[in-house]
Amino acid sequence: MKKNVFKRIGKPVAAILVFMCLWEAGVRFFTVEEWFLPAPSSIIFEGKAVLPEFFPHFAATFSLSITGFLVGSLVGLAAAIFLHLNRWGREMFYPFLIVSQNIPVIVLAPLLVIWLGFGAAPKLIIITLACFFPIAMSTLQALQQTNRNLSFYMNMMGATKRQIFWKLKFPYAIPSIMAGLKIAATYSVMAAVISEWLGAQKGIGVFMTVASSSYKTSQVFIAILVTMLLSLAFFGLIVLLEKALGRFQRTGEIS
Amino acid sequence: MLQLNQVSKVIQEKQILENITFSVEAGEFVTLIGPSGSGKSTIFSLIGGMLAPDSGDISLRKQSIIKQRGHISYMPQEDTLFPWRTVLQNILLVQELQGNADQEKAYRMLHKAGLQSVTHAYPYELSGGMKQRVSFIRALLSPQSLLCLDEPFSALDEFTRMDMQQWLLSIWKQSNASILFVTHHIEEALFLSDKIVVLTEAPGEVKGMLEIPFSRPRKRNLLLTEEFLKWKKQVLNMIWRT
Repeated sequence: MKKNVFKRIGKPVAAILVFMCLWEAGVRFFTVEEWFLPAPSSIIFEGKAVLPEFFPHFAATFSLSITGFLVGSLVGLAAAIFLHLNRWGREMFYPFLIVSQNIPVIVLAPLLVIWLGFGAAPKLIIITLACFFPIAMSTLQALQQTNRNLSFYMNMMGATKRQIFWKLKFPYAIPSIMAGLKIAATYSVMAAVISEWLGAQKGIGVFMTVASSSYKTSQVFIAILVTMLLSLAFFGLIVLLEKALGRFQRTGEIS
Repeated sequence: MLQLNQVSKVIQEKQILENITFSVEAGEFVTLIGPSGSGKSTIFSLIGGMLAPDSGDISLRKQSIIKQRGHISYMPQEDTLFPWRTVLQNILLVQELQGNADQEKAYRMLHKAGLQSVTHAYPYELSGGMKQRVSFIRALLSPQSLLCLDEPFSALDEFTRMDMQQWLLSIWKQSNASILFVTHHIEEALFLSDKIVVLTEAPGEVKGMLEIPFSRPRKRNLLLTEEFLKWKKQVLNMIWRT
């Protein structure tokens, strides 16, 4: 087991270490200016020094991402269930759902700022929208594609619509919902950081903007690294949840 | 118990069934046999209320059940065990739908069927034969007393199929259920049934009915007797008769 883990992560970790060494050596050898491209060692030292100042920014982005992710996921799930159960609603809104997926959420940001100001509301809406689509689409598609033999069986047995939904369709859709949640989890952090560029007092996006405008490139790298790690942590949490719901992952095995 | 009277059905402008008449009495094992396209599965859809006949009547205990679901228990040829439910949860499914899941009865039934070792296993952990056993127990455990089994052993190899036939008879013997069984397999029909209904090619009509006289309990060596071969010839003659 341990051997397998080392085998799996050993090579990528080695690749990262080699890349860092080359980066460090390159910066030192070519004496690249700190403001242009800091060496990995400078970024680590800067990280240690700036940690107390950085933590409140991290906390703000963390709570914004989590809130947006939860709201977006719940709204996406509810919308998918509504559209699945309501044929009239589906025929009316499904084309808009498809079209709206092609609009980058961030282009709505200026409008949201005009309408709602610089508070938390426009940021939350951006994150919610970013998380909404992957969940709504994957859930709706899965609910529409329940195994026909199982549906036929439930109908033959006289199951009500509610029973068919809760005992068959929803559990059957769980693997797709999980796939949507994984995408939404990474989108939520990205959307939170970008939404903070619009204007905020705290957040990794704010920290990044301030660092960038004062040419503190090491701090920009720190912000990028933490954003990446936060995304990975969210993704990891959903993978853990998916593992906990492992028994629902076998729907593909039905003939 | 179950009575089909002059039932006809057209699907997409094609006559699938024509004037089908037969009955299944309480505690009786009746098998429908016929070539592909003779409408055997359509008969189940009609009995199960998934389709309505264009003419004729279908009644269960003298009550019409046209377009009414939930009056029969059903076991299709495909695997319809829910992969996220354990064996116990799967066999309790139909009772849950009726709002009266009886776990004790389910445990007893699994024990009787020799399936107690897989009570908490998931379907992916079971072989094809085991899955069909669990499906049959699920059908038997449902509150309905008419079991419709649609080619339940067609996906199994010959050895497992023979085991399953013997096992099915031993379990069924302990219940009061009536069975309506569909198969392509003449020997299977003869070995299991009290009555065989032979259908024609499409459109399916009842070509003839045979009351099978073999006494119960039936053992596997019945298949080797002269009497069995004589009945097999009789069924074949009925199928081939134009």
